Amino acid sequence: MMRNDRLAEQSGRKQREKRRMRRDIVFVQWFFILLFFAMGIFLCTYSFRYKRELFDNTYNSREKKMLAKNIRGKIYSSDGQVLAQSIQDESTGKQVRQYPYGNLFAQSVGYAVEGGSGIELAYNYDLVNSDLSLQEKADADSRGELYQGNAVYSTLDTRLQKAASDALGSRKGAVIVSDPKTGAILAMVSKPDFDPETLEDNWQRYLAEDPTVGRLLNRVTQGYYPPGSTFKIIDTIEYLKEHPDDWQNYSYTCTGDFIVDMEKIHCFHYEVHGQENLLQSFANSCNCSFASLGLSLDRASWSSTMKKLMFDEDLPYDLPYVKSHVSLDSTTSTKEVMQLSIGQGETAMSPFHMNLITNAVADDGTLMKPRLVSAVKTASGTALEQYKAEQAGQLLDSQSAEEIRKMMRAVVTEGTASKLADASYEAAGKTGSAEYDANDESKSHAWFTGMAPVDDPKITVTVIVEGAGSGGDAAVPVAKEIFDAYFAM
Amino acid sequence: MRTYILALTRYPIAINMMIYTAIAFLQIRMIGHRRENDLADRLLIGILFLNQMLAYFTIYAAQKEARVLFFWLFQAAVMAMAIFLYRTFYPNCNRILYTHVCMMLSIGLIIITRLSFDKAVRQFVIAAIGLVVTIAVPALMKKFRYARNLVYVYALAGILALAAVLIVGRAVNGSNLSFTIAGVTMQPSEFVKILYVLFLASAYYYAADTHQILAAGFFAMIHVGILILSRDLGSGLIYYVVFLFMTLLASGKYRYFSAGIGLGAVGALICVKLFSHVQVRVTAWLNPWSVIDGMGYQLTQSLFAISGGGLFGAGLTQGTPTDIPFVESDFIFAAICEEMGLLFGMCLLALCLVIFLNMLWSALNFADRFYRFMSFGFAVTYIFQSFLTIGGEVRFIPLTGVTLPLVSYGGSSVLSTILMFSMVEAIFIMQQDRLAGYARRYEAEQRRRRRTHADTGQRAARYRELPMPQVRRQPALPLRESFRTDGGSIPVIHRNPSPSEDKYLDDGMTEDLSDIDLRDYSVVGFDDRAGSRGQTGSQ
Repeated sequence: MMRNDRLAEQSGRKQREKRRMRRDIVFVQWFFILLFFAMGIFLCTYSFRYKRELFDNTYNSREKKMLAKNIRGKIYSSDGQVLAQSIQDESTGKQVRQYPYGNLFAQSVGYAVEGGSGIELAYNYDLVNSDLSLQEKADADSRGELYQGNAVYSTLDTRLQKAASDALGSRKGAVIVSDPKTGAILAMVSKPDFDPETLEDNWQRYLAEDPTVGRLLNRVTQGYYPPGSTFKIIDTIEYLKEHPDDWQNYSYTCTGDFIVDMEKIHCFHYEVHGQENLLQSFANSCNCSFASLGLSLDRASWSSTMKKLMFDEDLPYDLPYVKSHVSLDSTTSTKEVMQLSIGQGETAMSPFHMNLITNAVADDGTLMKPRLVSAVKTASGTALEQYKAEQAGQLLDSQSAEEIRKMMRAVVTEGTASKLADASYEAAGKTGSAEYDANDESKSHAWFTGMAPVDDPKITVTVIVEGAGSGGDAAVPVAKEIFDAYFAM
Repeated sequence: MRTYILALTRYPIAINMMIYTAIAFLQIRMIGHRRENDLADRLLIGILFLNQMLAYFTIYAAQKEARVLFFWLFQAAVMAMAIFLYRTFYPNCNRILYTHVCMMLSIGLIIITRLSFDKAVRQFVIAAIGLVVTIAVPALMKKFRYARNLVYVYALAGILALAAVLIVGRAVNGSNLSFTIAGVTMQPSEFVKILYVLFLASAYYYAADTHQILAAGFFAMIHVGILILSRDLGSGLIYYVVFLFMTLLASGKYRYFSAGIGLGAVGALICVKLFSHVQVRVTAWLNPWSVIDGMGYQLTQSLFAISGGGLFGAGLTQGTPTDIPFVESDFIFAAICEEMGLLFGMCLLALCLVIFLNMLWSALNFADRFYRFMSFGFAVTYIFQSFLTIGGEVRFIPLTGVTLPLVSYGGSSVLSTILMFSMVEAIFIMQQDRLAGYARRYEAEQRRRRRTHADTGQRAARYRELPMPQVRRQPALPLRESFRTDGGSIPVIHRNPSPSEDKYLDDGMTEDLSDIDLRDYSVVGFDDRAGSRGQTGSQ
């Protein structure tokens, strides 16, 4: 009996040890299963999320390997013209990139050498890959040809692009034209420009002169300018928000200058506007009136309005751009608030951002997501990706948008943009003359941002001509040529 | 035609691999089950050879070299023969584990063939030698009965081998890893791993109290120290982690385990502070893009490769994995992901886990503590090494420069891993053979009873419900082994410790027979429902 007890006890101990080990093995099992699971998730998310960035890295030779099989795809304009294409040099077998329009699309379409830029860079992955069907690939093989890479269809229109470029001429500046209803960017011009075909030969020279000339910079999205009087659109949006019912009662008597706390603001060219309501102040672009209006605004509310209008915020755009900047809080000095009201001081933004705000005003306050590319298709035309018009947000209410369109129309009919007054279409807009040299008040960038026709805007145009003087004299004629070209189409 | 082959074979290869992995996962439950699903078994082997064929046809289509086809035929023949012979010699082997090992070898050979034909041939020769060795190992282990008593012999042999490399070794990639004897370059740390696991298993054989742990830990740390001095950080880490896990299993004390992890973390920090080559690796891990020209080059190229393939991969020969320096030994997983796809790569991860789980749960079922610890140690070594290399390649953890067992190019690595697996197989076979012996006797007893009761006119049906037997040791009585009812209705197997009675009694297994619970197995003739109770995988 005793032996049996001992045996039973021994057996029980063994069984307990085995149960304990089973528990430990379960622990070890889950320890490694979870470790591998985490690793698998990490691996998949990392390689999918950064697929394009990794592909575009200059240390990655997969692009070269692709280009040994595929010929880099074409880029088309919205009117069906080829903006960029590659051919295979018969003697060397190397691919040569051609840009039939030369300098015209230098910054918007960009270049595919030296790291790339514009559409060439953003859609590099699509352009060097070929999604032709196997049948088509086999056919290409039998002909001894490379596979044609995927084609990118841009929203740019060669006619408007050319009109914009011609209007700007040899002056430094930027023009962006877009369709406010769809967000499609119809033209994007930045001067000075370059010929992407010969870029590699001139690369060192361009780099050396870049700090002063800024040839490689796309001024539309990456130019960083004081907005000047065009910023009064933003002041007005805020004033309408704070005074939804009594804004018509606004009245100010302009004496040519406005002095608070030793800070003096004067109107452009020391003009004296006399008594004016809000619409007249806007049309006359009266600095004194808007400096005074700015001081009356609620700072917290104004800040949130500017945030909503995407100042110091990300823009809904996939290509490179600069963030705009304003500076306003409870500690901002009176002087700085006055400067802010007329778009000077620390305030800075890109023509692209100004165009987005104009689009929202034109489209009853709704901003459509800006698009430079409408589709990616295979070389044989099968759609791979379609970028449809989509809303990016409501920047202001439709009532305010309508009032601001009326004021913009007044700028044309009785204000600073009178050069557009006798056009066959009803244009509307806002001019600006932004001083940029603290030592020389006479130097200013000429701005214009506007739309046509005002009742049902089809296009918006934003222009900046660097150092060209007043917006009314230098920027409005540029916009007029573009509107003319559009309505002649 | 060529266009179609190059573009399309990647899909069936990836899908086959997914099917293979799914079946492999379902079969974890069936480890050691004598009624292993024959259909599943055939499917696994079928996919193994099908994928091999598809892959070599693809490589042939791209390179148009007949030697690729000959290599494939030869390889398939050798592998088929190895599988056939192993099953013939050892009908009770862990068939699934053997198939998985062949699958891993085959995946490795495919991708190495694509990277470098000559290296693939060398790898194949070594793998073939390894497969022959596997056939001999179970027979050898049956003879080698004093294995568990050689505790410090293993430790000293291992330490001497590692120290020898440290002193006379040849530097490979800045680490003292290998030396060359008679034209053959060896990397002893790969083989010392086996000795090391044997050492720990034997050290904890009788008990794992504090005294034992300290003694084992002392020798373990000498191993780790020498490896760190040889700059072989990856192996050092593997040795350390294997020590932690084996101590956990032997002692069951999680506080030792957590303390060990804490100490390891402190040690790692000290290593980072002290050694510049460790710092460099940490920097390359945290921000490889900042050192893309230097230490980050290998890693960033690996990331390019992995993301470049997409779900189904670029197709064999269609990617550029050769951009990664030392791709065939250190970055084989990245090459697989690029050319065979992320899906395939994920399946490979899962397959590593399947092999690990297979060994892990076999370990629990081995009656003998020595064998149990050994199998467990090999399982942890295998999975942790896989984790280190794959994790390093995908930037999950810093690079340590160890190989992916069975897949990576490297003779020592492949041979030592095959050796580990064959030892686990050998224990498995011994165990199964022994249990089959009990089962036969149990069935005979059942038949005898049924006959008896039928004679006395009772209903036979009652005796089909005869409960499962438990094996208990009866050391003092030299009885013949027979079933006896032990008071209640549970039959007990009493064994006679005589060599003539059981061919494994003199394997040194007598000591620990008492804890066998046959219900943990399913053996020939047992009811499946009873047999699958206590089975592995889902618990």
